[in-house]
Amino acid sequence: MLKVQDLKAGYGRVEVLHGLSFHVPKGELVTLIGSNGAGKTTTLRAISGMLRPQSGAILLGDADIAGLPSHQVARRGLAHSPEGRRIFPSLSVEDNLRLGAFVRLTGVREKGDVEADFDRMYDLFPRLKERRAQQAGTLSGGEQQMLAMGRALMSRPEILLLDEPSMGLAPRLVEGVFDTIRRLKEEHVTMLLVEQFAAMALDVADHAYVLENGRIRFQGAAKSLRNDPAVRSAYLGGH
Amino acid sequence: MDWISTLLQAPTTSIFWQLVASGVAVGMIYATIAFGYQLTFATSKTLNFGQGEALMLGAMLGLTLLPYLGYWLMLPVILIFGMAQGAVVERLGVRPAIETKSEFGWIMATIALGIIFRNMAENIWGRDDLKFPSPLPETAIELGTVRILPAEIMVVVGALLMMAAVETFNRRSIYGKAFVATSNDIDAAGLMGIDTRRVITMSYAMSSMTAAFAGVLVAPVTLTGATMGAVLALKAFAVAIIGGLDSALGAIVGGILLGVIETLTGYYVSTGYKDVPGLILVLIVLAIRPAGLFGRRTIKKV
Amino acid sequence: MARALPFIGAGLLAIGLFAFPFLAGQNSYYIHLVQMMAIYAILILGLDIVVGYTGQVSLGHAGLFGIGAYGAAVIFHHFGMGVWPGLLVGVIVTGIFGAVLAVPALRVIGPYLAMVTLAFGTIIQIVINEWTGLTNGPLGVTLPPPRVVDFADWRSFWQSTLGLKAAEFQRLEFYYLCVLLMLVAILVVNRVVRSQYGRAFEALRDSPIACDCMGVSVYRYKVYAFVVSAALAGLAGALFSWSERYVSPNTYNFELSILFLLAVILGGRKSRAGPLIGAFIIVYLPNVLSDIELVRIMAGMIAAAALVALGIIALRSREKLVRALPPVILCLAFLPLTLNVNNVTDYRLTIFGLMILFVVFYLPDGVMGFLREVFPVLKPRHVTAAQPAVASAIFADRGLADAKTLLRVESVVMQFGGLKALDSVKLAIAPGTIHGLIGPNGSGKSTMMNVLTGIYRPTAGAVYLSQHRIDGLTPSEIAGKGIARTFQNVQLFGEMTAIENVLVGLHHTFRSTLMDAVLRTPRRAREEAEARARAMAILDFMGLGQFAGTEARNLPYGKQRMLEIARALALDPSLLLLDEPAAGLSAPDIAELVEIIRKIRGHGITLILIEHHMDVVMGLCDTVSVLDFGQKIAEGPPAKVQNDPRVIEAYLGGTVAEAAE
Repeated sequence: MLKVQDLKAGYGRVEVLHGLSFHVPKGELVTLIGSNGAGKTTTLRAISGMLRPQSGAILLGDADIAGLPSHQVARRGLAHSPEGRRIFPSLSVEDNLRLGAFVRLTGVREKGDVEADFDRMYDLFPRLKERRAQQAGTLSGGEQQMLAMGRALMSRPEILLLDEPSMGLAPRLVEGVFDTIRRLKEEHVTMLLVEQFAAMALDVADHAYVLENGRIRFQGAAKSLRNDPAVRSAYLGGH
Repeated sequence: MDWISTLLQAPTTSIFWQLVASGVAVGMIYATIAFGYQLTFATSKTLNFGQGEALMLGAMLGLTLLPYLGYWLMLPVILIFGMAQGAVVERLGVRPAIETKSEFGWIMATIALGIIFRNMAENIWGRDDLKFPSPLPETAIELGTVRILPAEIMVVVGALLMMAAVETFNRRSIYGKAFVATSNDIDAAGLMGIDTRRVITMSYAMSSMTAAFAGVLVAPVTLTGATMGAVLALKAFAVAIIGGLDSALGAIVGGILLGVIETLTGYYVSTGYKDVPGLILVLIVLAIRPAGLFGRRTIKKV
Repeated sequence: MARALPFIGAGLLAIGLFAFPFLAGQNSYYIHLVQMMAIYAILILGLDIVVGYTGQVSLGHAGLFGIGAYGAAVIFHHFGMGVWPGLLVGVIVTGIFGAVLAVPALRVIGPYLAMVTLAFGTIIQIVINEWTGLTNGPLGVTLPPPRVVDFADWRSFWQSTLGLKAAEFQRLEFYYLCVLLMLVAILVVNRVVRSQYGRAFEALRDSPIACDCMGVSVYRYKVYAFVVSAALAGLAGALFSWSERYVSPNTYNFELSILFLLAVILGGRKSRAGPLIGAFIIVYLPNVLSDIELVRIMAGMIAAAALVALGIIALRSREKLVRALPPVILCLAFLPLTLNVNNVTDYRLTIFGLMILFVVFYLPDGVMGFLREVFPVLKPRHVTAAQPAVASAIFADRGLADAKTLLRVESVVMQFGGLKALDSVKLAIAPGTIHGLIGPNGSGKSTMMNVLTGIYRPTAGAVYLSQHRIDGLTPSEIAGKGIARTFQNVQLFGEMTAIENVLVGLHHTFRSTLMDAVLRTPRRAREEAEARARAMAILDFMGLGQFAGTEARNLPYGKQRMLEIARALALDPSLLLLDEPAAGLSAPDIAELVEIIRKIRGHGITLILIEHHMDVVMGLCDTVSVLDFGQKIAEGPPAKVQNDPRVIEAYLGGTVAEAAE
């Protein structure tokens, strides 16, 4: 579904990613883990066009999307729930979800039944239904995370990029987020998950890549990495 | 509360309320222009320093078209013209500066475009002020002791309608929501598939459209000429600052406040000084509360 | 050779200007033209301080110019005072207004400042118009021919020596006054911008926040910049009123402010030659425009030049060709325009507008910038230092403080709306140690950094630096007390050289005043030499000696990080805060960084280190504090913290922690 080849990207003169290659097969959940500053978020930003890569190829299906602006990437069926959630604070919950379906409502992508998808989101996140008319900026952190995920799903994406859905959430809420991810996986949504909490990410993922300083340090089936002490050393040093 | 009733009854007070009424009318014009500033500031954190010229062009072109189209048919033409003019300003002056992240660039470029438009207008329509005929009767309506010109009422109603129309568009249509989303968070809006560059162009188009409309509204009340926009735009900026660059209600309150202060100053102090309080207000508000009286304070991030 | 170039240029200019009246055959038209250029050049040199050095747009300089002009005219009108008192009043009154204008300008930047200055200029124009008692209102004030030298003996001496008639001499004495004052203005501006004041102006432009954190108060230096700039505008205004011998309110309008700005950016920011070129263009252009034939010839030449340029570009690269098309079309469009129009003067403002657009987008560094690209010999030389100071002179010999804690943070709370970014955090930093501060993203590390350096004022709690309470102080005050910092996203003064960046950090070592800078007193020369030697020593210490003359923005990223530390060291801090110094560095750079941090500690400086590279943290730190959700969850020696289950949980999430047990 998504294939990244020798991706180099950074900010200004700083190269953060020094040539990453990985792929996300259709219907699978792949996770990128690694400590702060390893380049996980930069990778997602480069894929979704928020950041222009310096070189490398990003294949979505058969098309190379590297260097396209983010709205064009979105129109090709990639949804990105960004770090820090980035919901639209002054709009209502329902309008946030509706904007998730912008590409469908404006006829760029197949429209389908948008109203039914609203119900689906409210079914997935009952809390959002209660607060559908409320300004999104007034939601709690956990609710904003649900909204960010719901908003991304409203485009009926071919692939969903999730950036640190657990960030800043209390452990109880983190559980809830991962329950949702599991549910989406059962529905065969293709996902690329970036997580700092390696343990939980490895629990739900099929395949994992461990990033360190802008390079992939090792990869493997998520299960096999679960108890690998190298993962811990990638986070806290001392290897 | 005795003093209020004395104030209302005394002969001088009818003049006072008279001044308040025309102050409100002028204030609504400021509010409309300020509203235009808010539109572009919301999407791109930029302002059109040639906003006054957008207003002036609307009024001048309106005056030219009036004999051919009549007042009501002229209006939509002016609105479309305003949109086109705003889009031109954005493409020529603002977009290249946004791409190179040059604040100096867009400030200077919109100023330059403004003086070009003004100079063009001087050469096309001459340097003298012209009279813009009002579509409504010229005789004042008497409300108690206060006499109000129909044109002034039209200014208030028209300005409110314009703002309401833009707000409704923003709240109801998916494109309007895309506009609000872009002003909330431009990166996240891009991720939704919204072409944010086009939204910025649209915001300039709408901004100039409201200004051109304000020009047609204000023209019968004042005189029409190539330099009519400059001071109006500057004072509207004062209003945008007082009201905050993110609040339409703030713009209306600020506009009326300034308009009334001005007409009162003009009458009780001197006509020559009537522009001064607004300008001093800009200096004071910016010195004390840069985010405006109604604006949200933002947290400084490092 | 290159070193002497500015002196040769200045000398030629002086000689040329002094000889000009004779070369021009006493033609009063041309003499007046040059006189106007000199007057405008004085103002534009001053405007360049605000626009070029502090990077702000001022639309109020026509107003300041008007204040100067009316200052001179009014004291003549009311008291019959002549040129000299007029100049004095013009400079002083306008300087005061500059300070007044700086007050609202302090808190705002960019478009807000542009509007503030525009409002200021408009108010000045209205007041001049309305305050008839003082200014004679719209009628204006007429002045007699200016008398500069009033000694009859002198006059006859010059007259007999040069063989001039009395009227000619009177005209020339004022010409020479203007030219002389312009040369003085060049000298003054040159000295100011090369002093610590000029460096402060540039620093507050490139990074206000870093400027404050180097102990250089952004507020104070903005006022200085405005006052100097306004005083020059006032001088130019006073000269202008005596030159024109008539002042009226409508001269000092918005268009004039725009014209001044055009002159600054067209001539080229941050140079002395630029304002002269700019003044020449804005004074001479209207004369060109009044002659339609000349305009057509010039338009033809511009079009031809644009075509040639296009041809050259087309041969080099296709991509550049597309980008070069709009300006070329703009240049070509001039020609048919001028052929169709009979009176170009009416289109004066349109032409100025187009020139602004062209310069802003295609010639951002102006004519001088272009010339410097073509003739590199014209590039400003970057003075470095002859001899670095001995290494021991870099740091104060502080020894270790007696107290057990250098910095004490007491239950600091930092609340943003509903979010507690810091929740009763306590820290105690022992002197001479390296204290690590780690935690997941959003745990509050950077917020702590900003609280310690005064960028945020904590909602509750207190911060003490060796017994002195420092929370609530401004960043520049805290920097003055000896806390220096670096920034997560590098905040260098990009357009300044490496050594100048360090010199901003050494600002606290200067005692000399603005007057010292203008007069170039021995005291200032000594301080500058000492500071440069010390800056050089700091650069050498950081391994940056060879980059002293390189602009910070042109340094490789790793060196930029090092330069930030160098600049911080120049503050002579007792406590140095490093915010992710290793972020984005390559492995060899990180090794070098670790070495340098050790060396810094070796000199008795205490460090707080925020870092994500755990190897760096674990290898360097004596104590590590871990933040999570704004609370301190662990503290101790690195090895202990590394194995603390709460830390592992915070970093990896619950289950791996258990698995790793």
